[in-house]
Order: sequence, then C-alpha cells, then structure tokens
Amino acid sequence: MKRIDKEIDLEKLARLARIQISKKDKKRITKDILEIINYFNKINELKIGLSYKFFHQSALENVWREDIPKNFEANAILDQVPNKKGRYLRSPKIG
Amino acid sequence: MRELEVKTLSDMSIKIGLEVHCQLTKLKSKLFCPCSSDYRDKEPNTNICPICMGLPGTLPTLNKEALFYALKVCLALNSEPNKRILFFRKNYYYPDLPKNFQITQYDRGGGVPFSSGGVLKLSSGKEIRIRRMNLEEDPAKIFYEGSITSSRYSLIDYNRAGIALLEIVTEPDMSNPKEAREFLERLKGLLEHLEVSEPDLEGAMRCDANISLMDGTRVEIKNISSFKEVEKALNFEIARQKALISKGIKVKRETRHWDEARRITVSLREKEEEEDYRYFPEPDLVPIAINEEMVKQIILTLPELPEKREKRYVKELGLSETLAKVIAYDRDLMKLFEDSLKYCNLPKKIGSWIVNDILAYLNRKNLTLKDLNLDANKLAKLAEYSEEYKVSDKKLKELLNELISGKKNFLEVLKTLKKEELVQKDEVLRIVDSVIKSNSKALEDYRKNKKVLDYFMGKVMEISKGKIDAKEVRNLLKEKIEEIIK
Ligand SMILES: [Zn+2]
Repeated sequence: MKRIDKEIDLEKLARLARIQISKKDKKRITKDILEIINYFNKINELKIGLSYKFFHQSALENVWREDIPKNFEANAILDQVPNKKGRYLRSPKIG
Repeated sequence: MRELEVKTLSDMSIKIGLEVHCQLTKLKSKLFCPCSSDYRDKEPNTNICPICMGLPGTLPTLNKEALFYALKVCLALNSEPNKRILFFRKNYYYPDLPKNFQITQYDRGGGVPFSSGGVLKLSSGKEIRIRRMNLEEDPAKIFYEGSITSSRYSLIDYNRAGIALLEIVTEPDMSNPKEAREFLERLKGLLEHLEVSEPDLEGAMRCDANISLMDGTRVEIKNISSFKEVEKALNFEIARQKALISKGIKVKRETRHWDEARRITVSLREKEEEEDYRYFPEPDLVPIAINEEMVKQIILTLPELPEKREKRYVKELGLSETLAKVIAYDRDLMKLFEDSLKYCNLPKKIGSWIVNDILAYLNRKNLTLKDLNLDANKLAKLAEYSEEYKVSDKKLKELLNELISGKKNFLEVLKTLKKEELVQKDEVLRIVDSVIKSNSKALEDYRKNKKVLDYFMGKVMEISKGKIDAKEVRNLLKEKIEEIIK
C-alpha cells in the first residue's frame, strides 16, 4: 500500500468547508485526515472499477413516490432555528 | 499566430453554448420530498419539511412524475435516456443548501447523465446539439438585509430548496447571440408544449452561457435572468473579447457574472474547481432502471411536436410556410388556431388573421393573447359569417381589428357585418340593373346565345372592380335577364 505521509493542504479543505482551524488543532486534524485518506487508499487497492453495483448495498431499484403534495408543520422546524429574522433563517453572509 | 493576424476581427468564428436550468413547475411536489412545489407568493419557509431541510435521519424519495416529465423532454429532443439513472452528491458549503450538498447527477466517477445527445432545430434549419440533460434539486433563495455589498447576513427562504430542476446543456453550436436567444425561445415553447413547465414564471427558467472566439479561450457567463439579457450579455462579451484580442491581449479563461444594472460582465472571484465539489454517489437513493415499457408509455403521452405540426399545417391545411412556422411554435397561437378549427373549417383565413392581424396587434401594443377579449369561438364565427355575408376583405379586416382592439364587441361587429352586406347587396343590384339597361343589344343576343351572360358578367365585375362575389353576380344577372326577356 502506498502511504501518504506528506502534508495535506488543510487550509484549502478548511476554506471549502468554510471553517477556521486554529494552529493548535491543525496538527491533530492533519493527522486524522491522513489516516482517513490512507484507509481509503487501502480500499482503492481492490480492483473493482467504478461500477454502480458497488454504490448501493441493496438490490433495490425504482423506489419512488407519487407526485402528491403533503405539507409538513413548517413552524415546528422554524421553532428549532436559533437565528431568524421574521420567517427567514439568518446566516452570516458568505461572499 | 500569423493566421490570427491576417483574419479581421469580424471574421472571427464565435462559439456559444448554453446551460439552461428549468424548473418542472407543473409538478405538484418537490423532487425528493412531498412538500408543495407551489412556492411563489408564499410566506418564506412554509413549504419545508425535515427532508428538504436536511435534518438528520431523513431519507429522500424520488418523485416518479418528475422522472416521467424529464423523460418526456428527452424524447421530444431526441436525447437518449440512460438505462440506469444514478444520483450524486455535489458538495459545497453555502447556505442555499441545507444539507451542504445538492442531489444532482454526474457524468464521471462511475455516474452517467440523465440522458445524452439530442438536437433542437432553429427556424433556419440549423441543428443545435444537446450534450446532456440532468435532473437535480433547486437550491434555496437568498436575500440580503439592505444591499448585497453592505449586508453582513443572508436571509434564507427554503421554499425553493428541493424543487425539481432540469438541466439542459448544449454543445457550443450557436454562432451568434441571436441564435442563442432563438434556441431559448424554442426550448421554452417546447417545455410549455409538453406541459412540464411554465418558463414564464419568475425564476422558472435560468441560463448560463459559455462563449469562445476564434482563439478558443472559453469564458462562462453566469446569472442571466431572461432571454433578452442573454443576447445583451453575449453581445457585451463578444465586444469585450474582440477589444482584448485587437490589442494583442489574451482572453483569460474565467467565469464572469452578468451585471444587469450596469450592462456589463464582471469577473467572479474564482469559485470551486470541479474536483472541489467531491462528487460521490448518493447512498440514500437507489438506482432507477429505465425500461422499454416506460419509454413506450411516455411516447404515447407525447403531444404532436412543433416541427411535425408545422409540416401538417402546410401539407394538410394549406397554410403558407411562414404562417405555419409562426403558429406551430407558439403555444398560445397554436391553441387559438386549433380551437378555432373545431368550430369552422377555414384554416387559411384563421391562420392569416392570427398572424397578420392578431399577432401584429399584440407585438405593436406589447401584449399577450391573454390580454385580449378574444376566443376561438368568436374568431371562428366571424370567419364563417364573413364567408356567408361576402363582405369585402378590406371591411372585414377593419372589423377584425376593431374586435381585437376592443373598440367594438363581438355583437357590434356582427351587426356591422350584416349592415355592410345589405349595403353591398344594394350596390350589386344597382350595378346589375344599370348594366342590363345600357346593353339592350346584348340582351337581344342573349335570346339566341346564353353565353352572352359572360359579357354582362364582365361589365358588372369591371364596374364593381371585382369587389363582389362573382357567383352571386351571375345568379342575380341570370334571374333579372330571364325575367325581362320572358
Ligand atoms: Zn420538503
């Protein structure tokens, strides 16, 4: 197995996930992510190709529903939202 | 490089491709959850549920009708649906996606698009190739407190999140902005016609464009809101790129944003690259197998398509190619035309009125058919009465235009039509009488040779300048002459 030990671009990952990582956490998270990548590398050694058969564990297909609208009690969800303005959810602006 | 210098800027070949996103607005519920899809004019965040809000432990289920609608569009565009439909997650962190990923389809990494290939023909006969189509969910709508630049917060309305969206991507086959606009208009007509979408609804049909001039650098333009804007945005972009090339500056490969207010495209700060989306198969949705039976069933529900209809109008109804083309591709005009023919059998007359009078009036006044107090029944009746009453074409057009513009109501028009016929009948009688009186010699000849009637006919038609109906004149003349010589 080809192990990846070199530094990964954690800054970029953080940017994509829109999170800030402190210097203190950086080392720990880098180590975790490297471990995850190496685990996937091990899986990648299996020569199964990219077949849909391996995307799903069940043999099910064509599971669908009819086009019938049914409204959920929306306020029950809104009540759980910590930051709102009127009925809008409010989040920091992401540029 | 030499060749580039020799060619003048106006010779430059332009390649335009489009990426259209159209909501399947005729669906009653969202793509993966049963929330109502009727979100326009609704209070924010009323059509939401644990599924489209991405709450833990929920599972999406595909709306079967959405699949059928997408297949309808595929078949109408001659796009080949894939035998096995798979969904993928496109990951990006932005508040318009409550799950932090969008369920869509992907043509790499073991995935396939919903369908591949297909064509849409322009009025010139040029074929614009479709590259692929995908079924995916619409993200939420974001508003800003105050202006977009000064606001520190986004306000999010998830009513739109999860609405079924059909993505249609073309090959770069259009060679000018006009063709791009016509493509969109034809596509819109087709989607309306298939009754899967109402693209005129606010935000229902959106479009991105990509354009490259002869040096091949592809520039993408995002955020184009309407067909008119597509033409403007592309024209601006062509001028901008030509100016750069003429100064010897290389066009940068980038994504630009169409700023409608300032009428320019502006460079976007580099967004995610393809690989940053970390596409992977959606584990919560099982594959969909498209079988022959399904396709057959859908083919049966397909209405007659505009191209075929245009041909039928020319071949079977005798319409000119120009009239047939205009009516066949416009759903509203087509409906008025076809409905009128249920009440009368005068396709040429109705067709000409619809294009030359009604459509001309609508264009002049910037109105739509819905603004007129005119229906198929009235139009058909007027056409039938006009045949019966034999009123001159000029007078008829006048009456029709008074009806279209609402100056006269339908009853008033019919009354005038009747009155007009009486006036014309009097006129015919007067001319016939005077022609018989002033041709006594011919009257004598008629006793021996009935063919002399043609001589009288000629005289009457000459005086009336052919404005009256020949058959009627002939009957009237014969009746009068026989009476005199009896
Ligand atoms: Zn929902």
